[in-house]
Amino acid sequence: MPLPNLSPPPRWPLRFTDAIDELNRLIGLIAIWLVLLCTLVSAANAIIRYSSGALLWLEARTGWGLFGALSTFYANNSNAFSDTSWYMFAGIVMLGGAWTLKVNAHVRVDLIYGAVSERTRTWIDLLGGLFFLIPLCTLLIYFTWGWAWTSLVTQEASANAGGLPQWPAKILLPVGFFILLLQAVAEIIKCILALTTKYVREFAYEKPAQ
Amino acid sequence: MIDFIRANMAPLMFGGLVVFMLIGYPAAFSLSAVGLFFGIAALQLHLIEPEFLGNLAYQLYSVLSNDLLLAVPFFTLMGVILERSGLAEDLLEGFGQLFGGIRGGLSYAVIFVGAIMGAITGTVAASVISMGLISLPVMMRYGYNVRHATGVIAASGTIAQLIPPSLVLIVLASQLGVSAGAMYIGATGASIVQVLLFSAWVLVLSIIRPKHVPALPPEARTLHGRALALKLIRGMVPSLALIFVVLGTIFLGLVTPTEAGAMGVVGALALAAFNRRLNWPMLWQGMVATMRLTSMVIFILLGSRVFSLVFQGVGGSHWIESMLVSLPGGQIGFLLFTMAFIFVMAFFLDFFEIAFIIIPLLIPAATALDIELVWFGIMICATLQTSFMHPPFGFALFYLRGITPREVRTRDIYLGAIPWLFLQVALVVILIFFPQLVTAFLAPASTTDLNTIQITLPPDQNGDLDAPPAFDISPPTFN
Repeated sequence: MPLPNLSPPPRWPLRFTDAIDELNRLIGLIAIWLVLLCTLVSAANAIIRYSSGALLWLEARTGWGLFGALSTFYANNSNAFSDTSWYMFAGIVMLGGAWTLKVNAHVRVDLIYGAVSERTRTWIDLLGGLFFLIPLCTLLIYFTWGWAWTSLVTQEASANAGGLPQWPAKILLPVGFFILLLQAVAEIIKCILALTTKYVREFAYEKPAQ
Repeated sequence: MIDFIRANMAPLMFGGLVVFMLIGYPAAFSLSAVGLFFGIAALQLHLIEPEFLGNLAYQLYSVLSNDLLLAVPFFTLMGVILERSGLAEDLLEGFGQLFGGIRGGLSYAVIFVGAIMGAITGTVAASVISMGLISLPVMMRYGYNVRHATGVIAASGTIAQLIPPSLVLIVLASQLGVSAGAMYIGATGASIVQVLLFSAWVLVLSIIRPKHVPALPPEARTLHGRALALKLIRGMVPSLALIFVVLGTIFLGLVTPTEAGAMGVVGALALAAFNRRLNWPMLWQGMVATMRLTSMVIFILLGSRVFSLVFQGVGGSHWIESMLVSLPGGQIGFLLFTMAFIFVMAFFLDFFEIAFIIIPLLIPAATALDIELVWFGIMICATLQTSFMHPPFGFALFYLRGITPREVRTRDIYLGAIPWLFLQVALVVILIFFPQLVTAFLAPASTTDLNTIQITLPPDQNGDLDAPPAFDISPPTFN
């Protein structure tokens, strides 16, 4: 029940949350594009791998050098390709996590959450954000940052011969938890505004589709 | 007090998980928060070493670099594209016309098309929505009982979970540590039994309740002869091609399930383009939905890794294992108990939550009881598909509710699901008592007993260097 004498939300916290929302929307767009790219790279990887015989046959028939060069290029870089596809997968997960939080799409056990009022839900999100999400993001950044940094400065190589260096994938963990932390702060501010002013939270929770 | 906490850390941690999950904060975050909170407490009580939590980074990284889980976005995107590609329409109309003349014919068509859709994509949503949109209006127009119609559509869409190449099987394979290919082969027998069970039920209905499943009148069967054959070919050829691209290449050992998923997306795009349904808004929506689902699912897994690392550190897996192994009834008792447990849990938890939280707890006990993990996995999958069907939280029922006209009451959808739910439970029981349905198709495990291998060493030459040592080069005997 909205109380009658609530004031409109103040400007500056909203500007702050809008900035974080916009940042994570842009990062989320990268994650969305990665879905398509990742699929195409994986499919191309599988198709080229099993058509290498066809490529060599085409080369023998045409003698253009193009198909042979393609086949050699692939043979020398196949581990880099397969590394690319799971780096992109890591990108989908870690870069998309914050946006998924923003649109309230992280799955919940909604036995209680589904039955209580909007105000109680806001309280659950507020306390959960303060006592669960912010500490856990901070701790996980703490646990992964030094580890990823070491990988970067030592230029840790791939576990597969000819693969890519490991730091781009490793660095995604602290980066992902950092943008999640930012979004958590924004969501907490939104919860406080929703509890004290006329502000209405944008995304209601719905069970995700499978 | 401190001693009590120290001795019962694992049960306390488990209790904490249940309480915090129930509050309704997103599961991924509750899991990791509970894990980290108890991790720090265990550190203070000297139950784990400070370095132990340093493993977290590697644990999280191993989730992201898991080749099997890479299949999650692929199969999701493929399902979304197929749902809008018009494939199911041709199939359903064709088979509906073909079987329509007999009692229950439309139900058989739905079951059959559900199985084909399941063999192309593993997503329930794609099957239920397309079948609900196309078949339900026809079934209602020609006097099928509403409860039966909604039930058969929801159930036939749900078997997509069990029929390879489903996402559920891939996720279970990654959790159980078995190969996804073995899970697919093992699931084949079970899916056939499921389709037969469903068809048998329709047959029974057509005898005891013929009014619920009437035959179509002749004027409703407009397609005959060549037109009908063309319609069927139009539906079947692309389906078979896609089934080959995805399943055939896996079974032939040409590609991994992950790559097959990626190629399936390309195939689905080609099919949608062929049916003139491919456009940018549709693809973009699919990408957005896939990104959200992938991120949500893998975040739960990241959270559960944090939880289970600490849980194992404080001896949790031993605690669960000792409880489960001491159940009466040995293997059968354990299986009946765990399946009943998963069945009940599925009322409250999502499939992914069950796969990532509950199943890792069950694996040590299953191994200790010498249960074939592929068999165990197929049974879990069969049990989990009930979670899509049981009122009031089943996803398949939600999807159906979303697309059915107003005159179909929610109550009808719920009641209609119940007989099919029993059929699914019957499948689990059949699987428990006839493991051959799963294991007969698997390559037999190596039966060499390592204790009986004898390796013949060269005879002692007493340091006599005049001649090279005489090696016995006959092959070792394996008894």
